[in-house]
Amino acid sequence: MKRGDYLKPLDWFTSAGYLFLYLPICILIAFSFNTSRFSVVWERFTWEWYGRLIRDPLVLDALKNSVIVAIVAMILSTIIGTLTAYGLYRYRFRGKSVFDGILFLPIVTPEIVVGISLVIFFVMIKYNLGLTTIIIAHVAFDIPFVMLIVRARLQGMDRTLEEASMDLGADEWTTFFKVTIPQLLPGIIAAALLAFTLSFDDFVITFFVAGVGATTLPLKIYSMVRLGVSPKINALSALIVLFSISLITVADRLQRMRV
Amino acid sequence: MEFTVELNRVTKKFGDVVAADNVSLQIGRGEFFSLLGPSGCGKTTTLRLIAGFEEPTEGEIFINNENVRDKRPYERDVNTVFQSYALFPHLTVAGNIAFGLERKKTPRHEMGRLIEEALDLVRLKGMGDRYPRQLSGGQQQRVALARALVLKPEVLLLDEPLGALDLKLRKEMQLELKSLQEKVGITFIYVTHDQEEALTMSDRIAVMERGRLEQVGTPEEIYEFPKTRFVADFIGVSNFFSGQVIRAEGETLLVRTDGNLDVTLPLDHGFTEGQRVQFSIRPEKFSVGPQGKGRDGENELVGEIANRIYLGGSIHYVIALSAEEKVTVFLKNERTAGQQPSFSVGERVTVSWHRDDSVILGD
Ligand SMILES: Nc1ncnc2c1ncn2[C@@H]1O[C@H](COP(=O)(O)OP(=O)(O)OP(=O)(O)O)[C@@H](O)[C@H]1O
Ligand SMILES: [Mg+2]
Repeated sequence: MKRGDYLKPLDWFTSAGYLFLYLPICILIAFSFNTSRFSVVWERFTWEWYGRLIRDPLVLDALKNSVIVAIVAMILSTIIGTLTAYGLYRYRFRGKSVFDGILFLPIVTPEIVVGISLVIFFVMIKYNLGLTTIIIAHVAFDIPFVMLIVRARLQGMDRTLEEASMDLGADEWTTFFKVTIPQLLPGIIAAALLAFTLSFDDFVITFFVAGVGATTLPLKIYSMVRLGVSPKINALSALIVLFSISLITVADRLQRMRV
Repeated sequence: MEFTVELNRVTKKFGDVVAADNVSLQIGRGEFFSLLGPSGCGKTTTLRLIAGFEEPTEGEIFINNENVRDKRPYERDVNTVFQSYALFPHLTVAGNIAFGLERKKTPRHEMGRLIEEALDLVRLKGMGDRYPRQLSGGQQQRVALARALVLKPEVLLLDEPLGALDLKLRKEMQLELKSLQEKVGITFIYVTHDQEEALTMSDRIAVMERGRLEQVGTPEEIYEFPKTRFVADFIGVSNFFSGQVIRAEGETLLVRTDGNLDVTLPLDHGFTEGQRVQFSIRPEKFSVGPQGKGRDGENELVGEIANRIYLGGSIHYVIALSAEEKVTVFLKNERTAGQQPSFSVGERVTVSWHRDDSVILGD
């Protein structure tokens, strides 16, 4: 038996797995180009739904909110996450292992729990729900992801590079900016892109902390779906999927990159 | 004498591990000083203490007669060539060399000239635009050297800088480094676990073992007069004996070895009758003649050739002097067309050596 034959069942499973993952998305994208209002039957190709989408002021408003939230959350969580990861890696202090250990906790906590706890928190401190609370919530759930990616990068970094830098006359800050950051940069950018995507795509947590008036794209889709599925929603979803996939692909490339 | 680096009773502990144990050293200006010892003996730790990457648990370190206790690595006038080279992968060769100059705020035009000079010095002219990953191991090593030397430090610390190179390149670089050091006149503190490297390059050598300094001296002193069994064993080959002092006679100590051989040693006032003594003799100090025809030296013993290894230029013998005591002897190959003074296994011979070629060892 040839090696190829032996592997056949595995190939089959792999293909089935990918089909399972991507077929619904492909169908969704395909039907965003369908002239029929009723998504299940194919008629003719059209750009119409995309045209309607970009002329819908409510959608554009939600897009603007999403972009603002994602960018601000990305910047804040990347800075905070990177510095925290570096601090945990570099310095020894009491309870360090505890901090290392609970890093995963926010990631595995169900989103609905995070959402409810945040909304209770905001109500408790009497903070009005709106864009700011969305941003705060997104920064909070982005940080552990940023830290994980930056930490992986740090663990692959050669410590002696920092020593060499200090040896050549650079103080701690100069070393951090001239040597450490350039070493971590692919990881930091990857983390930023991931944070942007997570924030841009988030529905559950945003749903709880958004309050009235502050609508992001996923929230907008949800409210549109409640009025019935239309190819316009397909078009919007298709755009979000393509955008997210491209960002994540770039992030993945960066994360594997050697400096 | 003026010292550039001085260690005064320096101890460094990592938990229970004593990596440097009460180390005192004085290193002179312009000296090529080697730290030699087996893996894990504390060489790197000692270097890192001087560079400022580790703080001593006890003791003081002086650089240019100044106590550097509170000085960060970037405030010390020493530079390091790391074993792994630690070149910045995101900078070009020129960028790497410029790194330290920029920290010193060297003017732009001068920087270009200094970088060119440094590249020239390590024979890497025209390679300034390359990235470290585009260089061979030997070239990377020279960039690391140039990056440190361009700052003209008082002291250069080198941690097994040739460790990653193959034997041939290693030999070449040894000579290059040595002549470079003479040219620039900077103090080199050079870590190695290769005794031959230390012997050929150094002005002085410190032999370390388990965090302690066993002996400090010139290569000749270390080889000819090892102070401890460890030094005699670690550097070159030695024949070890132990025995009991019979008596002192003039300039001579008469000793009976554990194998019941009577030998003479140079007088050492530390020893009195009946005391135990350990000594060693280097293999090339012996001369060998046919039985009854001793050649050279006050000590003469009869033995039997137990083993013979022909190496071309020299011949190594193992000769049994008593039931337990065998010595390794290196003889020059003296064979000429006229004669054949070589011995075969099983032949009985007279082994002789000078009293003063026996070296008494401490513990
Ligand atoms: N940061 C550290 N933490 C704990 N122990 C350490 C640390 N650094 C060194 N040691 C220990 O100190 C001892 C001396 O280490 P050091 O690196 O100085 O040895 P070395 O002589 O340079 O050895 P090698 O020739 O293998 O490089 C070793 O037992 C080592 O395990
Ligand atoms: Mg070492």
